Amino acid sequence: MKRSLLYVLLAAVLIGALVLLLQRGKHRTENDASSPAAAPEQSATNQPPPTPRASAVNPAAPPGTAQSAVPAQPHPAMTPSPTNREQLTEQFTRDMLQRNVTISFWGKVLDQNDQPVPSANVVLAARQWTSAAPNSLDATHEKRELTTDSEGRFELLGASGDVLNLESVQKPGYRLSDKTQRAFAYAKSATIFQPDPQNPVIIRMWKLGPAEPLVSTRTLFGFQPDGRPYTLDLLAKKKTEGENQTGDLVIKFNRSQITGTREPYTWGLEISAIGGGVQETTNEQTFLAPPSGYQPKVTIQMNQEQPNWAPSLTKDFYISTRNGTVFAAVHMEIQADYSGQSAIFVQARANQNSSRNLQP
Amino acid sequence: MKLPKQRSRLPLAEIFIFLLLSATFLQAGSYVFWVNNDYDRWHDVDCNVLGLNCDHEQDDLGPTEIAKLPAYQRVPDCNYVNASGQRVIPCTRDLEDFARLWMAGVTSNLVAALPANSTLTLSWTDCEGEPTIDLFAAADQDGGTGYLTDDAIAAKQTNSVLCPYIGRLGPGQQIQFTKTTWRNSQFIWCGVKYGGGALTLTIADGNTNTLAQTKSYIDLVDIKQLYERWTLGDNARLAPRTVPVLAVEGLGVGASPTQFTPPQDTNTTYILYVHGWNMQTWEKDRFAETAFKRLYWQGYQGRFGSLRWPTGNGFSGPISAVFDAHNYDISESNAWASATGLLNLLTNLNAQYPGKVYLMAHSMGNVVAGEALRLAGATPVVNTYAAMQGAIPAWCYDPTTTNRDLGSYESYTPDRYGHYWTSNSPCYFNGIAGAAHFVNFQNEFDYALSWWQSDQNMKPDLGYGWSGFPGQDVNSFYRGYVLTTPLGFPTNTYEIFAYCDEAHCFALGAQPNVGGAFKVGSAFQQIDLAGSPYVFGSAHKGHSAQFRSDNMLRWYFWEHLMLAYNLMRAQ
Repeated sequence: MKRSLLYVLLAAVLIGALVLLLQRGKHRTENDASSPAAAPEQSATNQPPPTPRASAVNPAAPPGTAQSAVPAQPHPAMTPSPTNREQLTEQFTRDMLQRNVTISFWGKVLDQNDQPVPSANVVLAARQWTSAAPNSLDATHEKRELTTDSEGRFELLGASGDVLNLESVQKPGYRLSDKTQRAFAYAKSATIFQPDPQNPVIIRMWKLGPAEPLVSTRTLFGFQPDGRPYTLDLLAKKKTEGENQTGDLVIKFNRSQITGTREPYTWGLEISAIGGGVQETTNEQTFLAPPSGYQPKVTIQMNQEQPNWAPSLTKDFYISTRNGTVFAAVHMEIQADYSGQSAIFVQARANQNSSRNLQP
Repeated sequence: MKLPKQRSRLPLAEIFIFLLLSATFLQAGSYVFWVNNDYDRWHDVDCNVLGLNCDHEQDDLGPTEIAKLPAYQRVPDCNYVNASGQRVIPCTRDLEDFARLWMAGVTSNLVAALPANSTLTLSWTDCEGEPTIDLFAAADQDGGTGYLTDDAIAAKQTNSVLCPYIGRLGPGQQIQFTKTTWRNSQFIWCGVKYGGGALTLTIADGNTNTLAQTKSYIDLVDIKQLYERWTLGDNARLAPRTVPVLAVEGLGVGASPTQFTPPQDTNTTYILYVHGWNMQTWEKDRFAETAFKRLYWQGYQGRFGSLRWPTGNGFSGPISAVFDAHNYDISESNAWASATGLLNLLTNLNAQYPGKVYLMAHSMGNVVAGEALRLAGATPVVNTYAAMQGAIPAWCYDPTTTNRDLGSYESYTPDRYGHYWTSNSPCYFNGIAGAAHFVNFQNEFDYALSWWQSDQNMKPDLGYGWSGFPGQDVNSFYRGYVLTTPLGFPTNTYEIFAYCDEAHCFALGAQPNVGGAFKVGSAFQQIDLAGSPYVFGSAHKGHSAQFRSDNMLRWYFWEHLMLAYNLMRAQ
């Protein structure tokens, strides 16, 4: 009788253990997840003894004190059974493969005059997650080559994956815009791309003409933000203090006192062209300066109270200087606070032959 | 290595031998450069399980791949030869291990005006050790750095016909030009053997009378002696140290680990690099060394160090990581626990370089970095923190970013990253102030941060659980199978984060427009690595792109890191 009771108790313990085991770890279904609580809620005032590793942490103690002598300790025992690992692997693989969705893409290639670019070669590659063998998971990027039609259109249908990469768009005599979006997420990403055949993605290419000599600048210029003028000479790639006659731009930076790293402050700058004008642009490719529309100066003002206040800005300009002998495209990364000063990282292409051609 | 007392060791710099046609020699300190002893090569990467569908990349190879090379290629880059036995530069990546040698003043007119049978001879004098270099003709006609920044020039530089190998110069050896063999005065060179000495240019007439001589002192050292290698341990099965020590392995015989002397200049800066997951010890160092080199070529002249922490490693891919007993999460647990050691290091560094300490962390290294900056409390120990491809929930910083649907893998664990540790609380890193500035280098399409999501979906891990009901806001996490141990905040925070609590958001490094510490005014402090000119892409290699490929392709990344740090020198 006692032996029978022992068997019953043993069986009960085993069943209980089995239930707990099934309840352990990942709850894959809503029903499983709603299993009764197996452990009481923990609070800061009712905590279990710290784990060995947790006990080794004492950020308050300075280096060289007793904590440096704390020996490295093994992890708590956590080794799961092989069966569970296999299940975990299977679930992990399945979850990754679920990233693959059907991919469609509609694009349209236009030149700088909004004219379609036919017969352009487009290479696309979808990232597809695959499992070719047990315990394997790979991401392939199979390339698909397409050609634009007479309207510059192309379409990709029936691909599979979670990301589509625009690997290249090529046509002799054309140059793809550097600002072309190169990847599109179709699943499980912070931003999901929505393809629409009625609104194809516009891809810009510049129809190349004859190239002319250009002076390229890629320089960080620093400024005291107290309103004093500086002259930038884009041809010599130099900055001098004061308003000089030789040069292209006069920059005057202003900034109020900075009271904290995250506190807004008022700042602004004035950009004047020497012997010409300046105009802001949002063109994707700044390869041809406009013939007109230049203003003697451009002012940027950022008041600390304004809702869209930011400590930095990126702007693109065309400039005409030196009485029309120089045209340039100027990309400016403006930082109101740069190591105590203000600074502009300038990338410019200048044509000093009275030509508006800025094609690289 | 000892240097003559009268010589000061200059910061790393390139060599410009100035030829002075007088008896006055240029007085210079000793320039320091690293020996080209790594293995920069093209190789197949990210093949599938069948060894097919490989991608191709230039990397600094490790022992396993070196062993697969043909015997004649199993040599460091400084001794690399092609199949014909000709000394060549293996790939454009290797060019970041070359400096310029510019014999200013030795013009073609000057050479033409020299007496008949004159010679121009390079040799070593005042040697200590075995300073040895290899000399190649420069591709850049103006002696510039185009070989490091321009694809076309780099391709020309690695073409042994266009830019031939000139020769090897060690103690007692010389490289001699005559009026007819002289081409131009621009070369590039790499270090072959350790040592110091005066690289000497002697112009002599046909009777060996010295017409002019000038010299420049050079020190050739292992790159591991040019930066500090701190470690909290490299064994993932052991808890990380709480106080970092200097790593000792991998140094030359008799060499001691580098530890900088206190800076004399209050403007001296220090950049500390923290690596990510799945890095063997040698890989941790190689990534650090690549960062060091690429920062150097951006003009960075400050100090550099790396912090190693005990990540798991040796995984061939995501399945391997999961199959090997949830090793990714063991590593994450170690990452959280390594924060104390990092904070101790940062505190020390900030005492030596007040306000001039810069932190860069890659992938899971951002768990170490973020937690260290949280533990720092209200006092910044870092000037600017660059989070690169951060494998840490974005909600730790900003719970308003995109909500992630876990689908059928939802376990309903409460969001303790965005609300620590009750539902009405702010996010875990709310008010984080360990750095004055934060910048997020993110790529929405990042490969590793894609399967980071599935790793989160698999939580709670094997051996862990959460026993609440869906929608129930309770912290009922536990460890164990039968006899469970409750886990609670804040004592078990690291264990819960690493093993139990699903992130219902994307990784910091895959999430644009993260606010909190990464937002100043209306501006998100971020760099979009998916966009131009970076285009890191969605392939596996893109997750570490800044450390891979060649310097010219990755130039923009390091340039904008320097800009983000405000360390690029303004004109």
